[in-house]
Amino acid sequence: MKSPLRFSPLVLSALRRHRLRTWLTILSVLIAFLLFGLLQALNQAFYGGIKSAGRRILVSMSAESLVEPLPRAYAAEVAAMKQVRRVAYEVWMGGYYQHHNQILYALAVSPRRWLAEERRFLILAPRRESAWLKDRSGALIGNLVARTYGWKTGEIVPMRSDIWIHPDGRNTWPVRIDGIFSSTKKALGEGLLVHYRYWNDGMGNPNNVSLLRIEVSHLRDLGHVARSIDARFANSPYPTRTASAQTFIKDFINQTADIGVIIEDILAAVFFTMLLVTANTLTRSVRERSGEIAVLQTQGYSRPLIFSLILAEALVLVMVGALAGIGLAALIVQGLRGALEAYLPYLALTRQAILMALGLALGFAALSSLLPVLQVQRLRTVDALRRG
Amino acid sequence: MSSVPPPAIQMTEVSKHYRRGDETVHVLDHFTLTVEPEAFVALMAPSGSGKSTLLNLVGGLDRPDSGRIEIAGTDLATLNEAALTRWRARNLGFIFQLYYLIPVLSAARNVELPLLLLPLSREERHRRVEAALTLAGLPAERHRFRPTELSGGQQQRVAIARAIVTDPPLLLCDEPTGDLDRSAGDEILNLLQTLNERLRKTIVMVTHDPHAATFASRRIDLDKGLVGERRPAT
Ligand SMILES: Nc1ncnc2c1ncn2[C@@H]1O[C@H](COP(=O)(O)OP(=O)(O)O)[C@@H](O)[C@H]1O
Ligand SMILES: [Mg+2]
Repeated sequence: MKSPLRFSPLVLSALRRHRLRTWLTILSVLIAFLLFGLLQALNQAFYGGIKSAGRRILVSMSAESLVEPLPRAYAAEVAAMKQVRRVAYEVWMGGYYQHHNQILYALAVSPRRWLAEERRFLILAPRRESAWLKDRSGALIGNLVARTYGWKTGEIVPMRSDIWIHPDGRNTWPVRIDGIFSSTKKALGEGLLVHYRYWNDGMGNPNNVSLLRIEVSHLRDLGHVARSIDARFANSPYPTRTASAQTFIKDFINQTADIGVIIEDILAAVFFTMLLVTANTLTRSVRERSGEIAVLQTQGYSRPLIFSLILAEALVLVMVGALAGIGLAALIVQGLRGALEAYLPYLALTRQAILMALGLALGFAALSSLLPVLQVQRLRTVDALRRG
Repeated sequence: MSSVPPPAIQMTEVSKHYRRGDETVHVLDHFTLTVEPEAFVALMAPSGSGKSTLLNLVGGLDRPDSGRIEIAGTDLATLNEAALTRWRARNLGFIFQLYYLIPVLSAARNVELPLLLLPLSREERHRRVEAALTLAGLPAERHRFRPTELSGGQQQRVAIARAIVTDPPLLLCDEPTGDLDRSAGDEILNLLQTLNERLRKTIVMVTHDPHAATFASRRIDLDKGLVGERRPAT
């Protein structure tokens, strides 16, 4: 009976006055929220992986020193622990090209496991992947390395190492480039990956690793697993020091943060434009209706009520556009997910992003009605009636 | 409580001036006026002499510089902005020269607007809207028409229906026939007469048109704050 909805014809009448203007305004809101949705999904594609997996990862290294290796057998032992999902290991090659200052960020890894973990951050043709998997002395390199040294697929590169010397005294580790990948992770783009077996065979099978990367099943197990690992190997000749990978992840996020900054800049510009358009529409609409608004006041409509009606008008304008924009973004993301599964597995419009969009919409509706409300506040009823 | 009802309008020594640049325009200067309940008064004066100003003061849309305005015994000076707004919703109907209907709403929706402020069910609102429009003489098949689909006279009927739909005792009309031709204007004036005689509405109409003034039961000539009153030669 006293539902505020009884004013809805009045609110809608304000929007129906200039249909074209109303639709164009809604369109501008729609575009803003469509972009918001798409960019949030892209953001999720870049950071989602880190956020979900990165937080559950522990890094185990020698407790003695940074360069001291650990036995590779630890990997299997740790993997057998209940709360551990999987374990990867790597050897820090300490590689360089011709001079010591031409550093190559080279890792010896278990190729299948490494690809399984990092594939979502890579753009690499499947046939390059399989070429590398088959080629024991082959390497995958990031596009940044390839660009720095002008290396091409198929080339053989004489990598040297400061740390690892063959039993015969050579320090060269020639590798054939089987593939060049681009990556959403800057650090990967600077990387060079070789087979663990290539290193192990070259060193005469010491069966060591530089570190273990341990993914736990549940975030809540992180501390417990770290302590159990260190306790387990405390009295062995190779005690471990295990910690969350958060610190590494933070570095990584800092390196890629420019994507986030760009997204924020674009959105700020888009939303600012949308705010101008919406505020302008409402301001004009209120100015054109000043006579009608004055007559409502002669009928007993209070100023606060009229302010609420303008706010409702803004809400309808912004909410219709926002819902349509976010809905469209959700459809597009859904459509792209299948196609981009291999490259951007984390591409998604999250519930959080949708809630954020709705919150933003409310905020922008309130902001855009500020000016017209001030206008009405200043409007003197008798003057509005005089103007006609 | 006294058995004699208070005047519908009692203005005592009311002054109102506007400042235009350096110049001060005294629109009302110690103006006094009494309107009895259920009267139909025409305030006659040329354009620019202060008719609208007077009506706005009576309707509490504007405040006087000095003097007192009492409507049915209520001193408007005692009401703040919010109270005045609520008071208008129940006690006044305004009718303007330019109708001020909302163009994209039907006649019925326009008339319903003042009722939205009252605690009425949708059915009750609908019933009152239909009654007011019928009383105002808008043919039933046009109740759902938009203002642009109606003639000027019909639009003014809708505006009158909107003014009477809350059943206020006092109607304030500012040149209600100013935008209409003679015959449409006369129909509106006849309607006002009917509302006065049959529904006992107190009506104050300001106009610069002597012909319109002949429909009222009392005519007051207003000139620069001086009141000259004479019986209309109906
Ligand atoms: N807000 C205002 N500011 C300045 N002058 C005003 C204002 N309102 C009315 N006036 C002046 O007061 C005089 C009376 O105006 P008004 O009451 O509208 O006369 P009427 O309705 O008889 O034509 C006019 O000279 C008008 O210009
Ligand atoms: Mg006037």
